[in-house]
Amino acid sequence: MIPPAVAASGLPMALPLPSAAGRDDAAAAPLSSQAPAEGDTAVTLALVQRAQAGDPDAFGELYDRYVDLVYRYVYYRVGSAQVAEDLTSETFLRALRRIGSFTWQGRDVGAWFVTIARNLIADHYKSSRQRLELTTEDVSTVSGAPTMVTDGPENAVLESMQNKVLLQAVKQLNAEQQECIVLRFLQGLSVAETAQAMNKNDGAIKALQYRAIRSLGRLLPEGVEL
Amino acid sequence: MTPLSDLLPPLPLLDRARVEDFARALDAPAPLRVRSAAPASAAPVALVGLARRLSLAGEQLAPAATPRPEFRDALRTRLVAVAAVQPHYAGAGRLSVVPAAPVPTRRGSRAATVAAGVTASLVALGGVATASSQSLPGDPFYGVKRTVEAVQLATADGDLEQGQRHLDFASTRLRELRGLTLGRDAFRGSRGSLDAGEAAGLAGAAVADPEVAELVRQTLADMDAETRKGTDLLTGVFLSSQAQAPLQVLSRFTSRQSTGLERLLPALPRPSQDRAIASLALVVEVAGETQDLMATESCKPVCQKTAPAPQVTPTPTPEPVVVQSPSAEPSAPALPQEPVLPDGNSEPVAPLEAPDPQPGTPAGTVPGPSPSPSPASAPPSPEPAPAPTTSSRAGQPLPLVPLFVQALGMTVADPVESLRSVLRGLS
Repeated sequence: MIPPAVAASGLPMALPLPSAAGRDDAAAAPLSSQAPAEGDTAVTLALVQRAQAGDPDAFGELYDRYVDLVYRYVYYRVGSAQVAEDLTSETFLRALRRIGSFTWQGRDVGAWFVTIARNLIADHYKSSRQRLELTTEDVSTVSGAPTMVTDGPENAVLESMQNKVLLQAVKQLNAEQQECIVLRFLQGLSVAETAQAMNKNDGAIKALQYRAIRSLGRLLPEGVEL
Repeated sequence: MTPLSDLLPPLPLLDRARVEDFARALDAPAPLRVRSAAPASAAPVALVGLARRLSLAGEQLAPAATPRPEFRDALRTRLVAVAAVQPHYAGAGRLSVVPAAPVPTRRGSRAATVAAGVTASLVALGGVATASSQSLPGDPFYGVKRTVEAVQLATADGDLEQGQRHLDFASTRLRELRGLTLGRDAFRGSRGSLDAGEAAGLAGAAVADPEVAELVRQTLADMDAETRKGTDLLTGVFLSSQAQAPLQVLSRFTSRQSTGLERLLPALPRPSQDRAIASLALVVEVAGETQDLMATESCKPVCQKTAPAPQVTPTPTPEPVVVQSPSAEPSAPALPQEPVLPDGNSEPVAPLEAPDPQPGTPAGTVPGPSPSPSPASAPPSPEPAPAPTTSSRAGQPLPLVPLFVQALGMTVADPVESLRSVLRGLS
C-alpha cells in the first residue's frame, strides 16, 4: 500500500514491472502517472538502446526517470543530504561510463542504477571512519515539512524524534535488511518492485521484509510508542 | 560479504505462514497510523504497526529525501555534456564521438519525443546492430548486442516467433562460447571441425585466464536460460495448436546445438566442462521431449497404453522395423540405447515410436546430421502434456548419450562419468 502522500509527491515511475506474471497485485499500480507498466518498459528499453548508441539526450531521459529513486535510496541509507548528492552524482557518472556493458535481461535499468548506488554506499562505509548519523539539520527540516500530518507542535517534535530513533535503528540492521526496509517501507516500493531492485524473487522479499521488521523491533528501545 | 539472510536457515513451515500473513496484512487497507498502544500479545499487529510507522516516516522525510532542484539540474547538465563527448559505438564498427547537441529540458511532450526518438533510432541503429553483432562477452559494448536482442524479443509477434528468437539467442551464445575459447575467427566462421589435438591445445590457453572462465560460465547459463524459454514457448504453441512447426524448429535446434556443444567440450577450460555437460544434458532432454511430442501427435489414440514387456517390443503393435533398424539410428528407442541403461530389463521406451505408422519416422522426424543427438530414450523430467505415454518412464534415469560416446559403442553405467573419461582421454 502506497501512502497517498508519497504518491502525490510526484515520484517518477520507480521500477517498471515486467509484463510477465508474478506481480504483486495489491501494489501493481505504477507510482507515476505515466503510461501503464508494459508500455513503460518498452519506452525504457528504447531509451537504453539509444543511450548505448551514444545519444546524450536518451541518457538524460533515463536520468530524469530514476534520479529521485536513486537519491532517496542513498539518502535513507547514509542519512546526509551532502553525501547523498555526492554518491548520486557518482552513481550516474559510473552508469554513463558503463552503459555499453549493461545487459538488458528483463531486469529493469532502475535496478541496475540501484545496484551501482549500493556498491558505492558500501565503499563509502568502508572508507569512512564512523557511521554517519542524522544531523540536527535534517531533523529540524523534517519537523518543518509542510506535508507532515500532525496534530500540533508537541506531536511534531515527538514524531520527528521518533523518526530519528527509527532511522538510527534501521542503520544498525545488516545491509540487506536495511536496503529492504528503505526500499519497501521508507520509499514505498511494492514487493515486486523491491524484488527487482534487489534482484531477488517475490518470495525472498516477503521473507526478508518479515525478518527485517522483526529485527528492527528488537532493536528499538523499550517503550517507543508507535 | 555474504548477506546475513543467506546464512540463516530457510524459514520452517510455521514461519512461512507468518511471512505470508505479514505480507497480506501489509497490503490490507488499514489506518496508516497506529495511534492506540498495540497490545503486547499480538506480535503480528506490532510488526504491521512498525511497518506502517516506517511508511509514515518515509512520507514525512520525503521532502528531505528529495534532491534539491539546483543539484538535480546541475547533475543532468553535466551528465549530458559528458555523454556527448564520450566515445561510443557507432555504425560500421567504428568508435566515434557525437558532437554535442542542444539539451531540451522541456518535459511537456516527453512521450511524443520518446516515440519519435524510437522510430528514428531504429533506423539509425541498423549500423550499430550489425557492428555489435560481432562482439563477444567481455567486450566493452557487448551489452549493446544484448539490448538489440531484447528489442527483437519485444517486437516478436506471438509465441512461435518469440520462441524461435530465444533459440536463436541460444545458438548465438554457443557461437560466443566458440569465440571465447577458440578465438574470434571461430566465432565469425560458420562451423569448423576441430580435431582433438587442436582443441586440447587451445583449451590449455583458455584455462589460464580466470576471467574467461567466468565469462564462459555466465554465457553457458545464459544459453541454458534461452534454451528453456524457447522450449517452453514452442512446446506451448504445439500443445495449444497441435501444429508441427514448433516441434520441427526445436528438433533442428537441438540437433545443431548438441553437435556444436559436443565439439566444443574438449576445448573448454577444465572447470567449465562440467557446467557444459549440464548444458548438453539440457539440450538432449529437450530433444527427447520433442521426439516424444512428435510421436504422440501421430499415434495419440494408441499411445495411452504402456507396454510392460522387458525389451522394446511394445504390446499393442510390434514394430520390428523400428526395433531392428541399424544402430546408427539413435532415435530408434531400441537396443542401441540399452547399454546406457543400468540393466537390460529396463522399461520399454518404444511405445511411442512403435505404433507409428511410418516405420522410418523416427529418423524422419529428427532432421539434421545422421547421428542424431536426440535419443528418444531420454525420459523428460518435466513432463509436458501427454502424460500417459511418459508414465512408463518415471523411474528411468536420464540416459545421456552424447554423440561420440554412442559412436564408440561404449557400454556404461553412468553416461556422465563415461563422458568425463572420454574427455580425460582427449586431454
